[in-house]
Amino acid sequence: MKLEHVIIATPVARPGATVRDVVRSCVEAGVRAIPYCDDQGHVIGLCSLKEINRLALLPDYMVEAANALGNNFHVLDEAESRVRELFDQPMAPFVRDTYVAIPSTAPLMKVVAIISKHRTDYAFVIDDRHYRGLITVYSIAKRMLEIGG
Amino acid sequence: MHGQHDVISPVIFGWDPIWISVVLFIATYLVIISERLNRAVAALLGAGLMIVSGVLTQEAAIRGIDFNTLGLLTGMMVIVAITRRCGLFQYVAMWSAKRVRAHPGGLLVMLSAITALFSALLDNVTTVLLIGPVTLLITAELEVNPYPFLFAEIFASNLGGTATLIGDPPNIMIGSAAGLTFNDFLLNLAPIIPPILLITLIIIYAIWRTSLRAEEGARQRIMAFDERKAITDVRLLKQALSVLSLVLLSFLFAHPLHLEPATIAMFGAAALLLLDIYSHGAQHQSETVQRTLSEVEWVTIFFFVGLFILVQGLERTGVLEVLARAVLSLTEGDRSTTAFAILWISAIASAVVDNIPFVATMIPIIESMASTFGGDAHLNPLWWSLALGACLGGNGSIIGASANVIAAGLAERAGHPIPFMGFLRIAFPLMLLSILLANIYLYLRYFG
Repeated sequence: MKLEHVIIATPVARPGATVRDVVRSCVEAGVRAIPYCDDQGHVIGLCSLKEINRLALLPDYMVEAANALGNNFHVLDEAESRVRELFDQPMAPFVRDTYVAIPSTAPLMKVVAIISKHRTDYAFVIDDRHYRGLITVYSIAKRMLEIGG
Repeated sequence: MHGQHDVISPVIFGWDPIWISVVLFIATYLVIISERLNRAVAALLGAGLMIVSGVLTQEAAIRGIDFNTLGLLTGMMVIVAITRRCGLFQYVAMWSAKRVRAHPGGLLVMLSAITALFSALLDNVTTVLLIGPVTLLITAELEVNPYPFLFAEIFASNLGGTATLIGDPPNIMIGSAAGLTFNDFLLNLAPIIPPILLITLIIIYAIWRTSLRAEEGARQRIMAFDERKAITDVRLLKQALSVLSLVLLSFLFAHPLHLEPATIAMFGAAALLLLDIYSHGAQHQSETVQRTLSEVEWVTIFFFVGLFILVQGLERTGVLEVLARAVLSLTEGDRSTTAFAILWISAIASAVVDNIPFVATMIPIIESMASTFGGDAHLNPLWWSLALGACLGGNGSIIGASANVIAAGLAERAGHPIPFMGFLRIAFPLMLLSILLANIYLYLRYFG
């Protein structure tokens, strides 16, 4: 199976992008993360919806004490009302500098192995520091279904 | 553990082993205090140099490691790692909030009391790590300042940890080295803890009483919460509570059972691991055990290994005996003066530096005083002084104990940073007050 069949083309985030820009890009592309690139187009980090949720949307204590959150707690409404404020913030502080990357020449099963090893759901396809697209467990499964289903 | 006097191997370059051991120990201590290098790495490097330089042989170094302390620590860490997964801490915190109808003043007392209790029965760092987030959640919901609550919990965690053999690592080390049982700690240290906690809470309440008010609507939202929803795994909860109860009972009856604390803790840990995995397949078992064991604080365990070897180096070169003689000459060989000196020095030192290396150093010093005071049995008040000083002293500053640092981190991430000087201004005098009360207790109980 060729890698090109499972690569999803997505936009990238660049310096100056806001949290809103990243969330919109992820939603439009139907992915959980996009790369953060410098002005030369080199991938320098990862913008993920999970990181936005973990680092920006909710304070740590709400995550730690998640099971003790009552459905009518006003802290939940407060967190929701902070979304607009959060979306105007620059993405840069929430970018993670570690990410899983593979070259476009890698065999698909090697990609599956790497994704499994890192216990992640996706990997960036990068050639010479330039982003080619994203591979997700969903895109792999979809392709497998086309072949085997 | 101590008192081995086998031949020292040739020391590197013919240098004086006494000076090498002192320089290595002080250098390692300074690196640990500077916090520029992970403390386990610093201690292990120092320990390695003790052996490489020839101050200790590998056999002597290994003899210096107190495996009873390591076993007890590791076993309890495994039990806590499994127990915390079921939501017990969150359940008890929410339950206690409802018992006082979510009134901030009552909440301060209840959360402090359960923090002290859990700290005594499990460990104080985990307790703060798990009670802290629920405290921040409840105070955010009540729209009250979380600072007095976290402040009280820090004190409660260190006070609760002082009460038992397993509550705080210094007690584990002291108990293991001196052969003191769970009951010894319970009978000799626990009685002074409730009065100190009560007085501390009264003062904390007096300082912050004006900010301990919440609107009725906010309190009703807490009251409407079903605390049972905080329990994530009922089966695991039952298993964890059963094993924990058996472990605590075994600690109480360790003497007639002829069991060492490490055996009880490790056996309890193995039993709870078994209950956690027995009905699952091989892969799930492997993953669960790996996950649980990865939650053991290996940094602390290896820190202990390094420290024990470093202290063994000092002991074998006779440095600690010299220090013990110096202390006895200052106190003129009087047991009560020596005990009170240990209490106050330990408290001041523990407010500034990590109490674990301090206690590791003090243990052989106190052991070598046995002949002066008429045997090991007469050293007990000195051990209680060391435990009270080292554990309560941690309350003196925000960096005085691991539980304090954890609480500070939680508060900072929640947008309520605990200022170093602000904490010190109130905490240090309160800590001194607790030491004064401990001093009175020691005097009345052992020297009056």
